[in-house]
Amino acid sequence: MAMRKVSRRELLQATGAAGGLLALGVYVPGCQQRPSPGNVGSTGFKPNVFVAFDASGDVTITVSRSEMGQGVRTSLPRIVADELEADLARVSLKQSIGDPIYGDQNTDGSKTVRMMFTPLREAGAAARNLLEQAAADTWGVPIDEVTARNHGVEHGATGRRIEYAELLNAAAEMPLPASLRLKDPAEFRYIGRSATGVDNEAIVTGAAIYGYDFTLPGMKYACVARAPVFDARIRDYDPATGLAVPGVSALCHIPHTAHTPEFVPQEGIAVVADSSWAAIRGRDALVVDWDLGANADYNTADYRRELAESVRSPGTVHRSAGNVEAGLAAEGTLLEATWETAMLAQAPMEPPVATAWVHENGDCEIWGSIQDVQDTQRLVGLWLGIDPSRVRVQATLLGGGFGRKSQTDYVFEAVEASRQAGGPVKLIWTREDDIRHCYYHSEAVQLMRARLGEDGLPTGWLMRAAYPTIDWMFQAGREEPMDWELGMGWTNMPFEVPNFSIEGCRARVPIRIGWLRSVCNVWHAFSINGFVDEMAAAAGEDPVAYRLRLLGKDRTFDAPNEPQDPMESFNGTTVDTGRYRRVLQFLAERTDWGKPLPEGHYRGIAVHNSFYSYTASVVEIAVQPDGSFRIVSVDTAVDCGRIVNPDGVTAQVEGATIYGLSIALHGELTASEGRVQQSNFSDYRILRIHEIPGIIRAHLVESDAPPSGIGEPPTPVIAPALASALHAASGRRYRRLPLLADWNASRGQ
Amino acid sequence: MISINVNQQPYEIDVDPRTPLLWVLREQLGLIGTKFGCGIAQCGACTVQLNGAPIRSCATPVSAASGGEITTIEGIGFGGMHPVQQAWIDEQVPQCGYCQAGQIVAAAALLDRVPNPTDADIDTAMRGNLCRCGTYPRIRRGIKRAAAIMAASRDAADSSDG
Repeated sequence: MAMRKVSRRELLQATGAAGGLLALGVYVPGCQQRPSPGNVGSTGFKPNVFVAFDASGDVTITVSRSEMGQGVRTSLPRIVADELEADLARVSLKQSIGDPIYGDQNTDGSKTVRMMFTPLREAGAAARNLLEQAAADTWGVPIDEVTARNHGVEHGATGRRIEYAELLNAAAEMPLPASLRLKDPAEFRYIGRSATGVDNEAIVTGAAIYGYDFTLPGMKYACVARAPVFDARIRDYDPATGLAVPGVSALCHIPHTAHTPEFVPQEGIAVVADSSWAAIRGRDALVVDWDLGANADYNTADYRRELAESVRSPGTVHRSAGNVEAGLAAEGTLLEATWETAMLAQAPMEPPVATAWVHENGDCEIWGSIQDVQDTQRLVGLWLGIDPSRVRVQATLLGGGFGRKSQTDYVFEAVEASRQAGGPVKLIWTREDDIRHCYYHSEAVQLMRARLGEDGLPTGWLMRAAYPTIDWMFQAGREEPMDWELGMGWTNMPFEVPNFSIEGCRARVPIRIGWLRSVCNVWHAFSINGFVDEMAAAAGEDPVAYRLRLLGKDRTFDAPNEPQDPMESFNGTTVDTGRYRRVLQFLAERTDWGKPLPEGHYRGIAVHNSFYSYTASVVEIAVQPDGSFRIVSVDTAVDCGRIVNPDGVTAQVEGATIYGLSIALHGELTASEGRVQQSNFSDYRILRIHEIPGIIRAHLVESDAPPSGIGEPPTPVIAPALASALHAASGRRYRRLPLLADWNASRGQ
Repeated sequence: MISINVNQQPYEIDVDPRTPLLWVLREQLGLIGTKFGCGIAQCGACTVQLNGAPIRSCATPVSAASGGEITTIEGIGFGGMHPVQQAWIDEQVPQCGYCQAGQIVAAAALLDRVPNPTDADIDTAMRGNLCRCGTYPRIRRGIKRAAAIMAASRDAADSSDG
């Protein structure tokens, strides 16, 4: 989902490892700033931007991505430390600011380990290779006779050892070897082993600093009265109503702009005060007269009808094969159905928040819960009309992100409040702000039509989707899905079908749309799995057996709409139907698919590929005497390539399962007169502890494939697997999210 | 002026008595471990103990806490690590961690009342504490581990008394 791509070559150069020019004065092409030269002498050894030894031999490893619970501050340093042969007791972490010297810092798209694995191995190995060379030179022995081990270098033949601390000066003066000697993965000591979260002690004692906790002396607090309808404008406001609240010191106008640069805020008034409570009360008291504009007619029921109408007509073809009309016109069973999914908010437990300080000389500092510190640096530079090098952006810990904190409208608001009010300002969002002024996961309507031949397989398959595009932020007026959106689960579908057409249909954008954990995969996986289940039933076949047949023989192909950047796909091959097949079979075996279940128990299954990972889930439910159901277990298998931190992957599967169940059971926002009608956790339900399944199991596929995504891929399989179980229990198809309302309604009939 | 006792320390605060306790803890006393999540007692991120019972500090006026003993995440271990905090590390509970202070304070209050809680006890006591990362399975395990740690230390105390 990165809109700006940084090539793999560029990133390697940023680590100083690609061109074979490391060490002193790392050359980093295309960067606005060059890192300071590698230091010699008493200050230590800094071979690249990720590794810095001090003179004692202790090493600081820099984390360039944001931590929001996915565990990058735990996993990334272990990749470096492994290749570095570092003693973890001598490693400390530094959270970087936003700076192009680190390459891409956009923490989304389940791509941090995926993109950073090789460059960070190389960063660690480069430093180790120099230390090994320094030891070999000291002893006058060939380099291949020495081995780095746990913060020192050893000469096996003579049993000699030199600590890293004693090699730093020599290593710092050395050119990088012509080629890096990476470890054999069999020798990994941290990669592949479960790790303790590095921030856990700070978290459980209340000492960890999140965006909401960041404080500066003399800092003010601000809360914004914001356009209640997308693109509404201020007609007038009564400053006295806000200023009358004790503690309120200033009102700052957040101007309306065109939607560029991306993530700019809606028009509003920031109420600046001496405490959060005063800022919230002042904001609540402020009377603003809004011109609601063209989007005030947006309401969910009518909009759904628009989308449903849109998929009745041909859309833009994004991937096709053969002749779909001919395939659909053949003899056989015709299936057709429509899927509807609801609007959602990411709702991280910490609402959006940032602290900004625009200094008198015009320089700007920002601290906050931000998923992409470097892009924020660029965008704030544009907003203030200054060079990005004058903007310093430091991520705190994020109290959850799930895509919301990729869209930094709240940072612009903080900057504007500081610029106008003077001094540092912490701009806080309340939960109501978060639910009502989100970048929403959009509603979607999808149509599926297929003709099944005598063998039960489709001779023709038409897929049409209508949903408002996230690209409204990047190209004004775009009113249909993008390639990259359909590429999240539709155009990269793995099935071998002779005639098909995958089409995106018109949908206007009446509200701000953005990224939510696994994005379009949520609705695409729901419809594809649902429809394949229906095809299997029409063919009289088990859903697993039918999927295996529908896959055809194992093959790899480049999905046309997947990003072709090698950093995104590694080898340009984006879909491997063999991995899709194997994860399905692996889960079927692990869950003993097809076994007789206890009375009243039912199962469903779903499988999906997203972010270059392959996931499958089995959901088992028990229908209660009163007709309600309980989720007994969710088993999820993942093939996400090589795993850095197995317990971290397991935690992501558990969390994504619960996030997916919130979507599947409850998740629904609705709009009326342009306004979102829900406002808080009281009416926007997310899963609570008493609702979770008794058993959530992660089944990890062992793989030496390059690491791929894990934060998002286990999410989209949950809703279709549950819908499939509900069908098994009732004989009725569930094609609308959230499912619980439909289940209850259908029981009442 | 309002008098409150937090983590066994007395404080005199000059503040509007209607101010939610949460903001006093965070912005007057600098105890930032207690979090804002919803502002209407729906998520539990702001949970503290008042005389040992869990309360939602975001919806409790500071005046209502005056005279009682308030315990926050910073004070729950009495200067050390509470068994629930240790269990949270042992079970690798946190993901983003933002809700965990509230979870831990609520869990500690549960264990004071019910030393060996069942899943049903945990559901009842913890259903007011949301976690968007979905750490609930590990929260359950963490509470049970903490219960075991506390039982073991009680046994040790009993045998040394004997």
